[in-house]
Amino acid sequence: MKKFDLHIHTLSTISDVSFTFSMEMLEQYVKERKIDAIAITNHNMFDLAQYREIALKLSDTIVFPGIEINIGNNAGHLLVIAKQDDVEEFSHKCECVQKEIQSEKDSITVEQLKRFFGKLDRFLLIPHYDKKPSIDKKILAELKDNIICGEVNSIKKFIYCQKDNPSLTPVYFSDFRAKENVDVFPIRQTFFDVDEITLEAIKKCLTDKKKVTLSESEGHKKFYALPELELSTGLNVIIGERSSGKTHTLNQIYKYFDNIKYIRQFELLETDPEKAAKDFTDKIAIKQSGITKEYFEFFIRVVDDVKDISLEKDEKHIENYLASLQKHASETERADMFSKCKFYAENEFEINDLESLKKLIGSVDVLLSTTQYKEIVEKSVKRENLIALHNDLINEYVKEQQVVLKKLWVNDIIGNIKQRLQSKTAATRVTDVNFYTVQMNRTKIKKFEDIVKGLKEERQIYCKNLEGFNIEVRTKPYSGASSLKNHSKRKIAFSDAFSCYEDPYMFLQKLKEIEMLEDTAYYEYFVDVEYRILNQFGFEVSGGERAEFNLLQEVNDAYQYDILMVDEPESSFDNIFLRNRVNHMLREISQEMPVIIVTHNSTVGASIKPDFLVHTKRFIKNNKDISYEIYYGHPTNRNLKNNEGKQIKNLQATLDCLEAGESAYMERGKEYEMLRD
Amino acid sequence: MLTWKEEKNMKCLEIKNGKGYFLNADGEMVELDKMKKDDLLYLLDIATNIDESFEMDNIETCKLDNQAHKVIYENLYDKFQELLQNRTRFYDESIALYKDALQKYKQE
Repeated sequence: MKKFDLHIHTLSTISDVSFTFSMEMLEQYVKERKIDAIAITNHNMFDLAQYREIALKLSDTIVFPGIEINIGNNAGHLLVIAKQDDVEEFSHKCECVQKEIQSEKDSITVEQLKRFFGKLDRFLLIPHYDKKPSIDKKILAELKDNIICGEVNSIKKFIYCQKDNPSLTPVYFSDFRAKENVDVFPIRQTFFDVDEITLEAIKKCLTDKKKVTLSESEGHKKFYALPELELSTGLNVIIGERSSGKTHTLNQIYKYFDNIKYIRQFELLETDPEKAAKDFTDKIAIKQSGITKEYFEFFIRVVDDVKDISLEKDEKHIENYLASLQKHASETERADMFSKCKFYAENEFEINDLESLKKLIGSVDVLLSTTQYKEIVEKSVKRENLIALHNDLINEYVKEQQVVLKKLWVNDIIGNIKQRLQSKTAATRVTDVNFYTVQMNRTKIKKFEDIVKGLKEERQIYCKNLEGFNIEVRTKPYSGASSLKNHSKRKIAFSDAFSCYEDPYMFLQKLKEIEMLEDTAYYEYFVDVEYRILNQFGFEVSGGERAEFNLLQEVNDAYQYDILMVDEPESSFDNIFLRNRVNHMLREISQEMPVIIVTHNSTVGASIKPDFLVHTKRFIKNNKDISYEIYYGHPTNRNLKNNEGKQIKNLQATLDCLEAGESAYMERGKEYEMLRD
Repeated sequence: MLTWKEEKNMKCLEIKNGKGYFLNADGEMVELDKMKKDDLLYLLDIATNIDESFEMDNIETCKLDNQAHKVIYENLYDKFQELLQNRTRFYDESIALYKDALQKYKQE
């Protein structure tokens, strides 16, 4: 087994955050992590002089020349690694890439890649596979004859690709920037089962997934969680006495990986029940906000459409129109030559926006363009009939649009003439009003009121069962001004608005008067949304159940991460809950990603049946020198051992940590027997 | 027995004895210069209701001696005439209006 890191940066390019290369750090990294072979893969460039310098300095390590190229429209990344003997020729080829790629977003095509590098089988190509920016699937297909492996950026994705047959062989590298002042060196490397380190041997090895692992000792069942600590890619339990370094170990692991879900000790314990209950409801509300938003989607559009309608203004327009018309009419006896003109009191044409016709054309378009349901559509309506209908509608649209344009033109003339006539006379001007708009606004408000009436009916809009708890979202009318205020989470007086709550139109007008309210949020004030978590008996959850629910949520949430770590779940929960609910979930998750649990509780530590056991121990010498040791092994092993080969008895360690020692365990056993009798 | 409205086939604007009249909500014909905001809104309701007929005497064929009534009648006639031409469009538009929202939040 040889350890590889074929993705290392030594030059600061336009695609990087600026850094200064440090040979010393690179040397230290390779030495500390005991890496057998590396590849220098800078973004879209290759520095021959620097490569030679590195290869000379790292004389005990194989250093491959390489480059990381932006390829395809989405500028996905592709590592191209060459043989050491071909380095000069490779350097020339890389110059072509460098010329083409001048900015971060530039990329080359597959055709260019082939032109620049010639026969691609002379190189090892490693695309960003499950890692951003990943290579386009189309490009992967085009290069399929030359690609045997793909880079991933987490243990979880590595495990997935290993298990998934059609996936490429996964490789997991550091993408390390060898720069000054590095705190911790990455532990992202891959082991290849090769004797000789040559490009040919590596490529042959990569064709067999079993020969590519994250650990030297146990294939892909293990990975390096810390530089000196291998853990199972499944379920790990860390046990140890108090202050023996369990939490410290978790904290260390947390530093080495990016995407870890870490549930810390006591994190879910409630100290202030009232605050906890409120936070809990808020949290649920945020989690379910997508559902609420989806439920109100249509109502949001309605409110947006009616919020600018003012029936009072419309009525005022009608009133002004009538009054001015009647006054103008009463003045006919003494009308002058200007006000006598027909144009003086002429109405402008109402303009049809042709919306319904446009929608109709759009609908026929949908029927014509569907490929998925083409057969069903054409079973009932012949395609030529649809095309004819589409043409007829378009012709009608053109015809009506011409009328609209003519009307607009005439309106323009009427408006101009009216203005000129009116400027010459003292006779009353007849104000205009659009009957269609006034009447449509009234219809809209009527429908809006009907909708609000239906909306206010108390109902359940969402219900989901999660591990025995029911998440329920209900809508109901607001109970008073204070509930509106609570919803706004601001110091706004709603008493005036709430007095009109039963009249949706008036209520909306009152909301509009509140300056601090954004118009996009008006819809939220018509009906209250209540989020509840019910236990298995249908009652609202207690404080303890709330914490249990939170833990289950947090654990469930871990699927979005690459590793899950839980520190002493027993500190907040009872054993029955842990055994019946949590253990089961943790085991499930460990099928997909590494799970690490710290505990000194036998329900978690032993009943969960871990794949790997870690025992931390603290030693104090001379009452002041403290040292920590980590022992590990399979739970069924007789002994656990540390990195130096030192061993301790597994049974003794487990009984000490989980059962308060052997004698206590035996004593408890006797007591239980007596109770049974 | 037929009501006045049915008998008169919903004549909403009428010319009679050289004067102009409109139909109010009580089913009475009232002189045009007495028309108020609510009367006009009532007539708008009838004009946009596809189930009711909205009849008007043609200003070209009926003589209107009262000049003030003539001015008002002409103006209203033109406006209602145009609204009636768009009656089907109004109907289609109001049927489609917020249909999905009404369906989703309807009372159970």
